Amino acid sequence: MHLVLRAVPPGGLLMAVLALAPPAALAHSPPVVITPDPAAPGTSTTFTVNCASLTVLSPATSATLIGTTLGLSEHIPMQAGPHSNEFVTTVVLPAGLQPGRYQPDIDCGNGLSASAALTVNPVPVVAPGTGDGATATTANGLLSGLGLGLLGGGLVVAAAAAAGRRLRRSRD
Amino acid sequence: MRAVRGVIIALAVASMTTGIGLAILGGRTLRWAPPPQPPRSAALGAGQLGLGPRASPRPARPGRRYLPRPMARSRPLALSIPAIGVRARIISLGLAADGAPRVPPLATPFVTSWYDPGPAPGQRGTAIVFGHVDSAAVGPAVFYNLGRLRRGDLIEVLLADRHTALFRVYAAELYQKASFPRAIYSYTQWPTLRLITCGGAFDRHTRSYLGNTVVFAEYVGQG
Repeated sequence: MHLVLRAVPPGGLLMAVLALAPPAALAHSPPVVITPDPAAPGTSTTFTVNCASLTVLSPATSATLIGTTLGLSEHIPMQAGPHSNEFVTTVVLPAGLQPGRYQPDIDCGNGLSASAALTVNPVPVVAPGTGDGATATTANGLLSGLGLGLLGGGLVVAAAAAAGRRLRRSRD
Repeated sequence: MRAVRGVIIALAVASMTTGIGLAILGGRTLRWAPPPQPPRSAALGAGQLGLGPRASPRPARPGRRYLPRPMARSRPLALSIPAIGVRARIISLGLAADGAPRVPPLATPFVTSWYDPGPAPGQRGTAIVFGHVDSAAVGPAVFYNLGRLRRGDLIEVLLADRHTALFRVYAAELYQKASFPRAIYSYTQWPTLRLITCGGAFDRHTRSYLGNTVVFAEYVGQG
């Protein structure tokens, strides 16, 4: 097998691959990387597509994210990435986007089309309730208890003094 | 004899007067200080919430190796925040029917909860952990001192796969519940952790705090 491949010139090798490859492999969708995935409503999400293909030899000069399924504008131009045929765009998902699985399309300028797969997780819609206010409302029981103790003690002493006085008067 | 009786009565009156004063004072002062609040200087602009910083290449702890690589999903089991002396168990909870995040019962005020529909600590995105600020059963609860955390403080999360995710605090902020930004729950591209509890003034009529303290931490690596 190796001998056969070496005998074929580079252009011929590509043609041989094209001839032998099954149709499904040739019609593959350009790979899309989404970060982060899953995402959440309101999240800044980056789509990266590689528009290179075995079947389409011309390089792509542009790519467009179709944003309608995500509640965004229909045509979102993507910027050229650091590698050939690579395009990148970052969008902010709408805050009201429902949780679920989304498959926005990406159209490459060379005629290819990719389908991204993004999972959107549910997020809380209200702030959490995490506390019952104990530290903000509980009175200082120690101080109150000390005060009530002093009040009670004073009352007892005063009552005893009054009783002693009455006793002495009755004796007199 | 009359003089002694006069002194005793004077002391009794003084004791009662002081006691009344202390009882009133005790009723008007709090047993515990209100929860500490983060300084305004640590505030983030709302526009920055969804982004978060990239992890710094600086080692979090000299001599320890942490791989600065996002982690696979694994359930968090425990949380450690040495700066405020917190070591707590983490349970997994989701959403309540009204759209609020479920939190541990007040009867277990030292247990925290991970919002499990979202990313786990160390995964790309934002992991969220809730904890109570206080509870009538104990007073100050697990996240009572969350507002004391400052930039650079470390948070360790033990995961079910026995790895530890290390985070470094980069901001802390108090938000009003009435205008709580939903962006708090949005995801970051780099792994981040958000610790959330109640804070601010307490409304005695609604029996609820008016705000929430949020601590933002960036993923440093796994150990």
